[in-house]
Amino acid sequence: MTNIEAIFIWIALYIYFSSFIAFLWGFVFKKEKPVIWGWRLALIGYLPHNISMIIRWVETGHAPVMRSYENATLGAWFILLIYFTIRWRSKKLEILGIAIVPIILLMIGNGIMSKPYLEPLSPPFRSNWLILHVLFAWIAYGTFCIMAALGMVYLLKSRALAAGKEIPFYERFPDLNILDYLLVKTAIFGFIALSVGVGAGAIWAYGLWGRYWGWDPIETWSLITWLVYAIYIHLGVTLGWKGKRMAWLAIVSIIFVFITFGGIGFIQGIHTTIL
Amino acid sequence: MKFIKKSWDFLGSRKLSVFIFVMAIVYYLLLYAFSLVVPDWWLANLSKLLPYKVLYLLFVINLVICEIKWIPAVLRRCKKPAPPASPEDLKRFRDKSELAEDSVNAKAFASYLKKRLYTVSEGKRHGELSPGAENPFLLYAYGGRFSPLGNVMFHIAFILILTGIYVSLQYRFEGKVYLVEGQKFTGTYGEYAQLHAAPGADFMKTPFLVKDIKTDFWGSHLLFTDLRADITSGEKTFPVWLSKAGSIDGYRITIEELNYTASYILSDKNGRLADQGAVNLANFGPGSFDSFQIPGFPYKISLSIYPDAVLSEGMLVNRSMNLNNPASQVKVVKNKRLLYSGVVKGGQPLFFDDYKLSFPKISYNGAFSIVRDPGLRWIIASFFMMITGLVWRMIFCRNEVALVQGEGKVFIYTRSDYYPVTFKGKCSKVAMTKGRAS
Repeated sequence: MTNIEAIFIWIALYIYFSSFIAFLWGFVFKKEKPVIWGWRLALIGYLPHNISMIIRWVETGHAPVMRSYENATLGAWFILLIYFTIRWRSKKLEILGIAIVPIILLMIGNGIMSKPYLEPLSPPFRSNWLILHVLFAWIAYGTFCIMAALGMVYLLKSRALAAGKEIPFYERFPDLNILDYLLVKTAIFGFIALSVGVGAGAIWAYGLWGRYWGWDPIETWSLITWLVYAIYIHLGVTLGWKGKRMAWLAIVSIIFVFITFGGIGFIQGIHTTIL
Repeated sequence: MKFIKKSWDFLGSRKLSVFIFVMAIVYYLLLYAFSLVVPDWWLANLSKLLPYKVLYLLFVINLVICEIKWIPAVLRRCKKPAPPASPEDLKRFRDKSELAEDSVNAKAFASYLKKRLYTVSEGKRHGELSPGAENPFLLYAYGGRFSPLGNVMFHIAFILILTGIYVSLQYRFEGKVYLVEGQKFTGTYGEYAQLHAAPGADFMKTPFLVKDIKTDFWGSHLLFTDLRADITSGEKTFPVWLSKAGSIDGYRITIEELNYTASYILSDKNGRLADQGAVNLANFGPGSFDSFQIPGFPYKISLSIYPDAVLSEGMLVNRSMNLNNPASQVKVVKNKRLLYSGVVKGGQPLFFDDYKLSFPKISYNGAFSIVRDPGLRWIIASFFMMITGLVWRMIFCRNEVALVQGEGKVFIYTRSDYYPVTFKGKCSKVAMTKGRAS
């Protein structure tokens, strides 16, 4: 990592941290303004985050798809992009940052603690299928993070409503039926993106290792994650499950995503060697 | 008959789909747990055991029956939607906004929608949609009625995937051969270091020659920036890479690993040749040793290769990982007794007991993977089917809009499968903007 890149990524980290504090403040004390500031800070932090990624791209001559650090910054970038897009569509959803920003912090923090040195693109990564694989995998993971955050917001709001409390803070949240609707739609969107990501990964793997599936731990876990969300969609769309149990399921399901991506450093397999 | 119907309903039920998914998760968690403690081949065998096969079979049956039951329903949904004829029909719209009556121009809005390939039914105020009755509908339009076909495509993609897996299991061929620069592969069984051939697979029989192996590293790091071999088959010479295959008769060939091959000459004290040959080593990376024994001699010879070595102040320094100026760090041991330890360059002899040993040439050898998998084309087809389904569903999204007049106001009712907020906002904005413009 060059000094200038390090400066920008650390600036981004500090701003994201401030954003998290603002969200936490707003959430704990049920204040609206800190939440708005949390969202603004996250948006401000995105700028140095982007600059650091561009610097790295220029320095290495390739997209940031190699090893833990680049994957972490790219993943965080995608998650935030999806968060900003959703917030842009509905102001009421800026509260999702309470779950999104700490995930971003943990991801980038973990990436920085790995080996962020600059490397040229090694032959296994020179494939258009890899770009598709990474792009769609991150779109999926980002969407699932948003979905888990929606689940949390759903539970908070439903708890407040059940208690009969009239707290203006919770009125900022979207209605429960809208949250219900968004939960299923994000699940479908993420699921389709994950399917494409896994498919592109399989074709890339064939080009590299001569086989499209090898029961590598990450492959196995990504399949498990895919199945978990397939269950979610079938329960929500075809069996008509709604409400709290779907919200809980959205939160529990994200654990599988974290294991699939976050567990890479702790388990052995071909993906471990590559990442 | 009743039993058949019940079985049909059960095997094509969504509850069974969910059950299969849950069971699959349990099975794969087991597989993952085993992957931590057993070798790959054991794992591959485990994934082919009967319980897994039963699950896959159940999955296929469930998927196919669901599709058969589902397709007529989807086709029904693709029919033209009926325009809302009564306030009761408006319940199917999810969103409703109120617009000021004088700001709306239904005609201009209709032409805007038509340009975007919507099917539009226009009604005069209190007019045409339900002839004879007082009708408050000004306009009704829909788009993307074939959107549900995207879902069908997405699910059919899984049938293609399963077909691909089946074809692979029946016809896949995979072999690995170690070849040195200049060595010819003749296609015999004994040449393969590893071999996995499905029951219906054909062996590769076409010979080829490894003309040379070229590699490039990132400075002195153990990181490839290029690994390629030039292969000659018949009169054609073509390159193969680590991640980009060359093809001979439908078999894809890649170079997977790189290592060193050392040629050696062993002669006795009178200069008579005792033995000569070449040995493939697994000692890639300076400092990494591999050993071999010359048949009939009690010496264990260990080598570590420094591919671009120079001596600097008595120290061996490796300038790069490219094989420019190789030197070998050699240890010769007999009955656990070290007879020789030192560094020799190409052709330079070393002496132990009554023998002279030299390594005149260090060259690359590569592990070449030879694969033929007819299942891949099914997998690729399924991938494109999946993408098409996704794009179809997203782009030809099912949208409906109705403009309804009443009590001096105009209400806009919208419904969109994927973009309800945007669609509602856009429709309201356009309906009013067009009105103002007119």
